[in-house]
Amino acid sequence: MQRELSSFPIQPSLMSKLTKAGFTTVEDLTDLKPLQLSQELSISNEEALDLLNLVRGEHPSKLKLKQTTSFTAFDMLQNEESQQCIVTFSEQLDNMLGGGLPVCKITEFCGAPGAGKTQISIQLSVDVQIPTCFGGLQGEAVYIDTEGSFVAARAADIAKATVEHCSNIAQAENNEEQLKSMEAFTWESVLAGIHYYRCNDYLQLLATVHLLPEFLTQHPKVKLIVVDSIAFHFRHDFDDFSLRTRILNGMAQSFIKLATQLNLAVMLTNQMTTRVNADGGSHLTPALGESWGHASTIRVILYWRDRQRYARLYKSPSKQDMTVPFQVTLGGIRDVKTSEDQSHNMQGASTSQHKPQSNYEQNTNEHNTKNAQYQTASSSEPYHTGGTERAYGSGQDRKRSRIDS
Amino acid sequence: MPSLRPDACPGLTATVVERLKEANVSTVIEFLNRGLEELSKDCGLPYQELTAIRRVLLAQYSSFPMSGVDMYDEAVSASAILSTGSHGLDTLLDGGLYTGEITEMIGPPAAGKTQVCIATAVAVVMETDHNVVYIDTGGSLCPSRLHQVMQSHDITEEKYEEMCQRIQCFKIFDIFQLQECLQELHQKILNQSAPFHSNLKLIIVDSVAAVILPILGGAQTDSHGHMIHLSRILKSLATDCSTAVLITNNTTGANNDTGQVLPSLGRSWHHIPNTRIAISRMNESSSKSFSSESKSETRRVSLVKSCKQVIGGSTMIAIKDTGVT
Repeated sequence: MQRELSSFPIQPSLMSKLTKAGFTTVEDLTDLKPLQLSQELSISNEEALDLLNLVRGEHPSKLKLKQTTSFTAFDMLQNEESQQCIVTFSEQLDNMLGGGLPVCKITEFCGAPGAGKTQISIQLSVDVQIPTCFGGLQGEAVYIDTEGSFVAARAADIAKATVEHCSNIAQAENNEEQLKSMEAFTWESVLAGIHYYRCNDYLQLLATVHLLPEFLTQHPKVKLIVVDSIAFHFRHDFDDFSLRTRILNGMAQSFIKLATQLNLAVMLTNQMTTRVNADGGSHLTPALGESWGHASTIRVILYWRDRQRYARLYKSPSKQDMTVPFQVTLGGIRDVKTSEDQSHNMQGASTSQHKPQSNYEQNTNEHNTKNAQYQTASSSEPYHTGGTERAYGSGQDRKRSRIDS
Repeated sequence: MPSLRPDACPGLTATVVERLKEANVSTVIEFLNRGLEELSKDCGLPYQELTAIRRVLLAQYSSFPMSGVDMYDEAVSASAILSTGSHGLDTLLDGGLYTGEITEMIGPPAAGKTQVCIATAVAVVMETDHNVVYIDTGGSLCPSRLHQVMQSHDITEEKYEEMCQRIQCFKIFDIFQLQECLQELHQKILNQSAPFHSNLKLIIVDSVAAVILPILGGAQTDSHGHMIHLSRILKSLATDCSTAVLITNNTTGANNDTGQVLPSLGRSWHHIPNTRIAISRMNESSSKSFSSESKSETRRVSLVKSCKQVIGGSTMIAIKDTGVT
């Protein structure tokens, strides 16, 4: 069977000319010269040349698109094992995601207002920049903000806490490489490493997504793309639902393409909407409808219950359903400590199961004693930030309103 | 619609083609659709000559009749039934995935479609010596999960490596690449150049909706053609190359009045697959609230379309660490 011309990305007007002239398969075009074709179809020489190049798979400018290389599952596994994850600073959350936010995948965080979506977004755009000697990716982040909820001061808080955490590790370990890398890893540099886009409508968002590949070739260090939130512009003033589905799915495909080709992580946030059941009751479900649910590889639902934040892994190709608590502190996302003793037991157990993903766990005894801010009940629990609030004390009410008590 | 070209068949010389063109006949279809008498008048060619050309063209483009017995024999000898690795699912599908057929699996997000795909791929390489092509359009194929499912079969590390080599993966993100890839596969299988392709029996596309939905909808008119074209390649892969094709698709209409779940991609796509199964989470009504703690690994799979089994049957499968049972 010869490949038909209609399976190529050829514009419809040209396609109808081709069909009229009797060209339907690749074979019909193989022996033709551009000049002959342009005469046959009465099109310009350039058009004819472009067409022939496309059909023969010799398009010079589209070489990058022609990467339909195959891998065996074994190659893929080895490839995956060498890939790193972006830690969230909540160990339980990391465990749930399989070590942190994975690269080459789209991860979607859904939640009602105030569930912590933006906090996780900011936390991850900071964490992606942790130097490699600390087990980080030493990358940069693209932050696409549609709601205007990104607060630079909040990002600075989280960046400061993260930098301080790393510098404590470096000092505690007295590791020269780490100490050296700390010189370049400051909260200012972290903020500079977040490329922030503000998109006021879906047109801007679409245009930004289309331009991203170009931006990413200029900034090869980018390892994380955050869109907070994907739903905002698509939830109002949209009459044509099939068009919406098309645009959204198109975006999802370009995101996953970027993620796989450039080895970066894509994180989207989504709002929740109410769906009325057949029996008259209702429940909350992620917005944008069912077809969008397929777009993300991993889906996490964030919610509040009993004055406690929870994250539930709802969809994942590699992990079972799981629910973990987390909290948002001044320093960012952290594990929950219900009470000092409880957490000691609980965290102690969970730490021992946790396979080391990074250097955070090493020598935390010293680091904890040195660092009042990260002082925790459990000496073996480095993620912990029980004392954070206390350290900053009063006068921070403005900030407190955004974080858990 | 191939065009009339000189030397396409004896008698069709350059001058004849030229003459025909003057009479507004440039493609085979146009030639066959015209009355010969009228045509011979229009272009001044002898009637006998045109009849001869017509005869050759008809023979060249027609398909061949085949007796039912031959078809049956071929079906019995050439077709294989591939186990999905889950007994319940195999029973539902009358033994498993049939070569020469397209089996479609539909379900809402997180229903377990990818899990069944992975489990099936593993089952095929483990239990038979056939090879698998896995086309991933949504970035959802997770090699470590593949590894995990394989490990449950208790094999050595070298054996494992060999198994993995027999699953070939493509990461494809738009429909044109997908068509190109499938076309290449088609040719490679028919050429029988590489041992991998001559033993290829299962092609998985997870999911077709991911590549079709971005071009469907809005005011696009040609997108529908691409979709149908894709289905034709899939069909010919299944029948000509006698492979089993497993595709996944989204669902729509979960919130309409009837509560009936339909595959997405519209009505014309509904007719494409030979067999369709729907997979969904259990006790969805009680666990609909996302904040509920209930974990479930059980899924209900039901047969929606089939030409072999009674429609409406359903079975339970469990998605566990070790795979799908």
